[in-house]
Amino acid sequence: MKKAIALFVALVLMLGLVACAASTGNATSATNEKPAESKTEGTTPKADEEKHEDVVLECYCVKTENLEAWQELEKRFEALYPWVDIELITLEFSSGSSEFLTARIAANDLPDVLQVSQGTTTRSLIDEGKMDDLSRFEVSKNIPEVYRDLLTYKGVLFGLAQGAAFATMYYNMDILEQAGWTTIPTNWDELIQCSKDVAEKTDAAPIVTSGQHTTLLYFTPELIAAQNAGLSQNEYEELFKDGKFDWTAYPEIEAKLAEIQPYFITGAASMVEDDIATMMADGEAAMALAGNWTAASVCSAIADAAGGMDKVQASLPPFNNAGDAVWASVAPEDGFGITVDPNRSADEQLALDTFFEWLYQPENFCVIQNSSGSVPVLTTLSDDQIKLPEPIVPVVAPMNAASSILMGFNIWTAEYKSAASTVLLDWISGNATAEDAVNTMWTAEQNYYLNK
Amino acid sequence: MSLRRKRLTGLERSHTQACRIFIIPAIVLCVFFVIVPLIDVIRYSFTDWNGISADMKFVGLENYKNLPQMDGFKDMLIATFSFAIGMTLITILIAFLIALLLDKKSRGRLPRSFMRALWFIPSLLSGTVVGILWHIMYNYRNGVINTILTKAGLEKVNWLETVGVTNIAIIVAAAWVQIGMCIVIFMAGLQSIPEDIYEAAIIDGASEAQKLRSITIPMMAPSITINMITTTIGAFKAYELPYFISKGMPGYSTMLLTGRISFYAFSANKYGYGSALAVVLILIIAVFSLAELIFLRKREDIY
Amino acid sequence: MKTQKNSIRTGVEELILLLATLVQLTPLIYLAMGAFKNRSDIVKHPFSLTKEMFTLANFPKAVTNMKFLRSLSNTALITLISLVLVIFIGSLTGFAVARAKGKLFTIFYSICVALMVIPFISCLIPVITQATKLNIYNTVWGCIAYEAAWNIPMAVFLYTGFIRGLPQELQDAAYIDGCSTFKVYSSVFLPLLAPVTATCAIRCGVGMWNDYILARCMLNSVRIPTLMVSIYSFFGDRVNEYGLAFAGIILASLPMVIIYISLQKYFIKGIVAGAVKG
Repeated sequence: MKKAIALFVALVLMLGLVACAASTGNATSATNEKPAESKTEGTTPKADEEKHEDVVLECYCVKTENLEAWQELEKRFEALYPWVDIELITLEFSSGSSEFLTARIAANDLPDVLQVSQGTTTRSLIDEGKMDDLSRFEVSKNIPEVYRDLLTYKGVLFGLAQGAAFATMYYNMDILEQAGWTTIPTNWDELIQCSKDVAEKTDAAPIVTSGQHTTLLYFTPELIAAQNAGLSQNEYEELFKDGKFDWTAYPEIEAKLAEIQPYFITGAASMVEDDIATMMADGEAAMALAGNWTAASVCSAIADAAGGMDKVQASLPPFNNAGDAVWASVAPEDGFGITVDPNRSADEQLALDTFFEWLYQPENFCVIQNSSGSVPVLTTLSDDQIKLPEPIVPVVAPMNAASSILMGFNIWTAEYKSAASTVLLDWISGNATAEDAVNTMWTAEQNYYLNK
Repeated sequence: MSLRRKRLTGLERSHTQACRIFIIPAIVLCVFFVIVPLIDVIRYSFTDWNGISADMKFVGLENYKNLPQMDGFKDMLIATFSFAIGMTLITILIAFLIALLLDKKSRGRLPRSFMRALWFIPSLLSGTVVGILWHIMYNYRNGVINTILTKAGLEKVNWLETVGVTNIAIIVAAAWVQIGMCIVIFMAGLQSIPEDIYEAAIIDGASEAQKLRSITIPMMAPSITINMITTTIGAFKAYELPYFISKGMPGYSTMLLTGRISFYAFSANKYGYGSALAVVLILIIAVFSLAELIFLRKREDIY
Repeated sequence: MKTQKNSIRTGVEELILLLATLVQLTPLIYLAMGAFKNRSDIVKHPFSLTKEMFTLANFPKAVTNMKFLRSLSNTALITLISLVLVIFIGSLTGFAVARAKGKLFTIFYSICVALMVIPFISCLIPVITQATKLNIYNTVWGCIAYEAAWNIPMAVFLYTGFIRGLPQELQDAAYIDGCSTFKVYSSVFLPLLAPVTATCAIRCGVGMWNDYILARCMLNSVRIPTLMVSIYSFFGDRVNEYGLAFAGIILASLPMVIIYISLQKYFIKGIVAGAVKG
């Protein structure tokens, strides 16, 4: 018995020791470790010409596909300002990012730089005066006004968008050709016909999308609403904000939701965003309804399956009726903001301000921009700094020209989002009819408007 | 009173005295780090706190009264109870059978203790890991389970998007984890049954089924009780595993109480409401497991 | 005749057992093989591992992405110290509760049992607020304090059950020899507790090792990463790299598996004597 306990203790100790030894060995390469206290009151001025205390800046970003870009920026900035240590925290939405943020708020230990969206948490933070107004930064003027307005609440510009998000349809032309389509569909009827042909003539499913990615899930209903409700630009979002957009008032919406549903790949509702690229890479689907921000990975996935980038095409989702112009959906991608912390030392605040201004300089920001392939909103970026995936390039001009609908779901309460998402997931997986979907969305809109 | 007796009473008194001191560290730790936060949760459940703001308002029983108005409240209760009951029954049944087979003291050709270790390994994995692993395996198009079904000439099943089937899917994954633990406890119970009872039964000419019914199961009653209780508690507390597999889909049919707590407390910024839900969950678990305990202990007495 | 029937029976039973074990192991086999393949091979050939598919690339990549050694040492440190605390306090309390008479002990035992049913997630925010006030937020010690405290009820439950099953004479004899109560605990009972200690170590240790939410919210994942937090760099919305994720799962769980296998014998004994009688 003693032997077993001794063995156990020895084993764990050994593991621990080996690990400790190894980690100190690593430390030389893995930046200089600073104890936690250095953040609060580390009064050890470094002996360089500027005499700044060592400062740790905490940066929280959600998207891990940008991780490498962020690491690159971290390295660059730390080389320029050796007294600043950037700490990156990346966490996915589904991995407890809301638990993490709520806990950080409770501990009064918010990261210095924060990825922010239009959600309720950000708004509550602003109510508490915990988000800094970014209009004092020079770089904020380089963001177009429409994107600034979208990330402004109670007069506080709380985030600078990192890009514009819009719905894009990607096509695997290899499969489309098998189904008898050498050109991509240009309107709703063609899209339905094309889907039907793919379903009948090939093994692939017509359209893949990700139900678990909220924005992607809302593309279809919102675009259908834009095309069919006879709205002028900006009308939908105004109505929707006031809880007055009646989904049930337009029979076209319900009919089209019902019409397209069978052509989504089985399992779309439970798919995560990555599954889109996976499915396209395996040749499981002919078309992908995805965001422009994943252009890089989706395009290369299709190229893998179809045998070349020339077999990849992209367009705005052709949800328009024949003869009508196509609408685009636009949302600002999450932006970055900075938090207010009265306990920050002067040097810490200086480091933070310097970093934020530096981050949005075109030569730095293009690193983040190009890693996702989303359409830039930062006006100072020059054309040679932007590297969009090839198939997405022809989409940018029509997207800028098109009437656009603002993705409205993001501005609603979490409860509304949950109710609407649930019924839309049921619709996409065939567990609810299109009629249920529009009815539930309308009821939820009315219910939660009162509590907003 | 004899001298010896007196001495023992004195000893007992000092023993009890010492024991009172011994439990102090545990009391301090539990009160400080478990009960105080728990009281906070109960306190928050009577307020409209949003989890962020510095101020909150006392709203009395408002949160509790509003609970039934939440979206999918009935579905949530059905999902929670069917998950707990289904998982407990399946786990106990399979674990019991496997324990019987593994226990056979017969000169088997199989490396039984190694097999027992293999059965236990899933219990060592974290709930999230198991959830993600099974989510990948349940995928309709390229999941390994459907691949096996297709190879066996069967129809693919849409595990994650069919009402009812998804409930089974999460139960299976949760049972996969829990079975190993239950087997170990069952085998311990089996080993504590004296061999001569069986020998006597064989002399009386009892069949295998009779032996099982009138010796094994009654003698195993304590292990069945402990397994039932721990599995039920675990099932009610399960959060990551079912959530990562099904995300509550389809509809609200697999949205468990724990998932709802997390949604209200952290995503919807209604900490007070989420706390009320948490208090209800704790009460449900307490009542349910107490009832189970009383029922099972009674059965034990009957045997 | 009868032996023949018996051997057929045994054969059938063994076959059933073997098949059931195979079914149970399927996910593990899939996981283990997948760690050595890339994603498209995992999808196309889930249960074969040929030379062409075989790749070791997932492991070094997982080790770097997870900051494996630092995460491992933190996790091992937190688990080990909390476990030592839980075992010491749990056994001492278990001894007291099982061996002393009085309302206080019965009440305390019932409270311990009741505390076992509380889901940690519901107390997360109060815990963080409290830790901040106590100045143990973002320290390993804070994490250890909560890990230990939340596991003590289970330990008390296990130890009490086990010690109740030990004969009363042990203690009486020691007292007559003039031992102090602590001496009775430490030199008479403690040596007998190895089986239940193994049980406690496995049951509480697994929970501590696999803890995600406390480590995520209490510790700074850059300065003090733990295995379960680091492993998330593969998960979340994007699990495209199945092979990498599987390699990460294996790396993070293997230490626990090794410890379990080496403690298995005692673990089983502890369950026999402890949990069943509890």
